[in-house]
Amino acid sequence: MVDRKARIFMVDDDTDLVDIVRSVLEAAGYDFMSASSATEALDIVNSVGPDLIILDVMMEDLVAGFRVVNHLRNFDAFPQNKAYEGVPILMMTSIQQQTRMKFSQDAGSRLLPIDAFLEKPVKPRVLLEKIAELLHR
Amino acid sequence: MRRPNPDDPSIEGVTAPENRLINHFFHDFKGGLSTVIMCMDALREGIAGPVSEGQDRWLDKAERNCQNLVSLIDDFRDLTRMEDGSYQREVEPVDPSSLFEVLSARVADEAARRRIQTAFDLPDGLPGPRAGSPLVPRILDRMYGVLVDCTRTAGTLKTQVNIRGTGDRPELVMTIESEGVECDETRLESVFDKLAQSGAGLQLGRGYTMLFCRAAARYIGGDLRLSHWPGRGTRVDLRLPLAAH
Repeated sequence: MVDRKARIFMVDDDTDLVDIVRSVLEAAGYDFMSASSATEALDIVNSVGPDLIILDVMMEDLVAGFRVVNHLRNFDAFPQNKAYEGVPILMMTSIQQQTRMKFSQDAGSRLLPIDAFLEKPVKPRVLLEKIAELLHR
Repeated sequence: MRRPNPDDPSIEGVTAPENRLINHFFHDFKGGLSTVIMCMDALREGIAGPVSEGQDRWLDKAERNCQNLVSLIDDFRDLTRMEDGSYQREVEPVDPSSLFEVLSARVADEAARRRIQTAFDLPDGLPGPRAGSPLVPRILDRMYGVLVDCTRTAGTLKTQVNIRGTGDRPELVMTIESEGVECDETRLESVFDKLAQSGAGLQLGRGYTMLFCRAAARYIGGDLRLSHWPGRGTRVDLRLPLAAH
């Protein structure tokens, strides 16, 4: 739990979706920042200092979101990202779980080490509940 | 080279590259629809100010239609996965009692609007929850969406449910009678023909929905059959295993 407004960092190339999520989250009292690609996200994540990351999968390429997860969770390869160990990653994508997206909270797991998964379309209320759950656990 | 699904050799399968192309298309379709749905949800929840009852009614109609499109996209995409063998069998709790509560609620609004009498005749002692396939509730949801649409105004939609088999391999065996759309016995199979579906004269079903339902039922070891109910409408015989294979 943070004392200041919790900062949500959304990484998604659908700018209309980002706009609506921004409106929903800011109205709920969150600080909101976004990036429209995996590359941009990894460039600015240090300056953003997120408390939670909402991440799409297919952006500039098919597995862009997985690449972000790998950078932020593979501490052997990217030890500088150890700071993000406790930052929840919520994957929000149109791809169903059929895509072998089993996930695990263990950074060392072979399974995708994210904290939660929501399949689009997502109701604003459901998104807010999931974010609150991830931030307060 | 085509690689038909070995579970259903009667279906001409899509190739893996075709499947990938379809997946990309569907990802883009679904992404746009998802954004529209989320915008409407946010509006209905008051993100841009209070919404009147009338506005909410129209937003609800628009949202339901978008959700139907999302379901069609999911079904068509998973049909291609079943055909090319890349569909992953999943397991989730399936509770027969709650299945029919959900189904009753699912058809209630449309049935009331068109004065359709619906009835679910359930056996005593439905089996308890068990690890089953998520395709079971999905097949029922999609199929009843079609059947309500195809039942005539003020007609009946009756379902007789039985359980066959015992122990850890029970099956739902259902006979559904829909008063309304009639289709000659010789043309019923065309409901499951992709090419016939894309032409005029759709006999029963919205696009590929019934085709998906039968393919999904067979995929999990069940089956779906249609028969003509002369002078009345159409009968559906559905068999769905309740336990995951």
